[in-house]
Amino acid sequence: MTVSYDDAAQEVRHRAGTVAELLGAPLTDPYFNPTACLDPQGRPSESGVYYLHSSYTLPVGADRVEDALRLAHRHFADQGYQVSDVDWFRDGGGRVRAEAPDRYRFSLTTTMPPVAIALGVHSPCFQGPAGAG
Amino acid sequence: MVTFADLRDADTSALYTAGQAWWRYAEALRALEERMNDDAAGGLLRAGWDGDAADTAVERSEAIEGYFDLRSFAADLVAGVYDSAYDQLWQLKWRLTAAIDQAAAEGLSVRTDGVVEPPSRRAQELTDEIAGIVGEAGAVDQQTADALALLGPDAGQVGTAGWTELSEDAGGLANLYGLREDSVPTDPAAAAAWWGRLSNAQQALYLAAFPAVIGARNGLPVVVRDRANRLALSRHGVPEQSLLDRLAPSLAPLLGPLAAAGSWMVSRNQRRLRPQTLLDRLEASEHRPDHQRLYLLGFNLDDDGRAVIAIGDPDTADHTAVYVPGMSTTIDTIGGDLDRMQNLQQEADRLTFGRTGDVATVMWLGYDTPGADLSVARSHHARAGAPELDSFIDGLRAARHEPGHVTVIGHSYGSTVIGTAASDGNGLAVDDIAVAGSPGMRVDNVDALQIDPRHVWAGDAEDDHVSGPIGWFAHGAEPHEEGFGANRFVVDTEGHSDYWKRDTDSLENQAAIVVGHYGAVHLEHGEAPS
Repeated sequence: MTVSYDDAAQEVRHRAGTVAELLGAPLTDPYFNPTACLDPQGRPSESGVYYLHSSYTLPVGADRVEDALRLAHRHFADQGYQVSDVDWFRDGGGRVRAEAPDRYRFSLTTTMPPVAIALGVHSPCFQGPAGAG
Repeated sequence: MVTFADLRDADTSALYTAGQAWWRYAEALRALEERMNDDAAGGLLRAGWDGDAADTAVERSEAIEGYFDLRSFAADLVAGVYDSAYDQLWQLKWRLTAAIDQAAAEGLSVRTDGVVEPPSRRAQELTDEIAGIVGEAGAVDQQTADALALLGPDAGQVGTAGWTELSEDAGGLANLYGLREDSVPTDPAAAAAWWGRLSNAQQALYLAAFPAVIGARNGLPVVVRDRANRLALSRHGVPEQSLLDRLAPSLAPLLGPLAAAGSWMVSRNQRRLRPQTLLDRLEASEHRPDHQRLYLLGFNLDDDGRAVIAIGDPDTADHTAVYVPGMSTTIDTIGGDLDRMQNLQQEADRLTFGRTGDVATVMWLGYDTPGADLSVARSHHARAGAPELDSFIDGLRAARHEPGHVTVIGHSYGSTVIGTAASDGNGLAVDDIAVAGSPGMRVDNVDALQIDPRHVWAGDAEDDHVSGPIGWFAHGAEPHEEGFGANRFVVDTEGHSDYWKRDTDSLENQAAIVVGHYGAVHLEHGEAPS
């Protein structure tokens, strides 16, 4: 499926916004980067097949970090996402990773210091616009 | 010629004002260069404008940027001349005033030609002192006139010729002012202190006259070294392309059995283009946000070449990771290593709260890496590189006003260099050591690395064929084995080259180490610091 970078960015921003709304925190420090997907031989695609790698910071506050991760975990499970990783760190905070049925991937990790959540939202692989790659 | 009356009545503030005006002019030129970069070329690139017209427009913008850059260097030199004249003449005028006041206090008077009356032994002493001061002022005046004449007309040449002209001007000025490249201290802490004591004028002149020395000197500020190295690189220019160079790409595939000759021709051409390739890479990064900009902290274009490139500014970042690449890395193949460090910086930055840009990473190809031959099993390259790495890290520490968190990361033979450096002398001035795909660190266990064992980390992929018995035979115990005593972090990537692939545990674990988020590091074995 051919999807432009702009369209992919709009969709990952929308998904990140849903998580932010759920956790009651603004999306800050946005970062987007189209990244080559791997071809069947495990090499970066040279035919313009990419996924959009994005990241944000959600400043939920030190006292809400763990609750926010639990809330996100429950939300992903309720939505039928496959939760691949739930990990609680020894020094506070933790990490939750999940994949939606349409293969959008989410990663939430407590920041250093543990006052916010680093949110990663990655699209599935798309065929890029002509000339990309 | 300066007379007594000239110096007595001189308004030295005019020199100060002139110097300030030239500093402002230099700053304005740098601001124009920046705007050309951000607003014009950067704007076009960000908008995704593509095609021949876009290429021409970007090329034109970059040429104008180059002009502003060159002229800003020249303006720095002129400002330095005025500043230096002001500093010296102001002090001479003050000494002259003090001598006149002394004569008056002793009941003597000073004539308009500087002779003290009435004649006496004391009057002669004061006359001689005044004559000496006026003579010094004459020498400063002559030096300033020579310096300004040396800088010549504002020819406005760009390209290699312009940089060469600037280089000659700066060299002449340095000679005139008695500045010598061997006066730059080699010890990083001494170099940092020395630089801090220089006036703006002296700094500008040292930078323009001896860019290769300033750019390579550990302990000097990152932005200074970057500017000096780019200047040094600009002077290299691109040598004329010979007929052989032009034909090389077409001939290489046709040479068939003589493939070695073909690849020699291609690598010869690649080597010829090194300065421009490196400059292009650095300039392309100027269109990125500040924290993703590249800083050139050292280079050498000879043989396989060397390059030390930071992503983000280590002088201002809270966390800095210095990555030491492994075998067969050359200046022509650093693209992949820079991508790895970009991934690590982005991932580490994501894990920190607050301003974007509190993590810098450095691709340190500051040593001659072994090739994929028997030399990789020997220690020679590691022993030669270890003191260079040690000095570079000391320099990072010395250039900062506040202590930062520094991690050194070794890949493959890079870990051997790190082990050699950490086990030698008083060790490496780092907070954490991390290695991946290590063939051994030339030590028996973690204790030899002279750092708290909880701050030593090793990762190894199941099917990484570089680490293993061959490495053990050549470079000692494997740091990822439990008996070594380091923490082994979880690696979910395959092979020897994917430890810094995006969206992997391998990368995220190293990013957590880099920002001191030790609780977030997934361990196979070991004990993370609390």
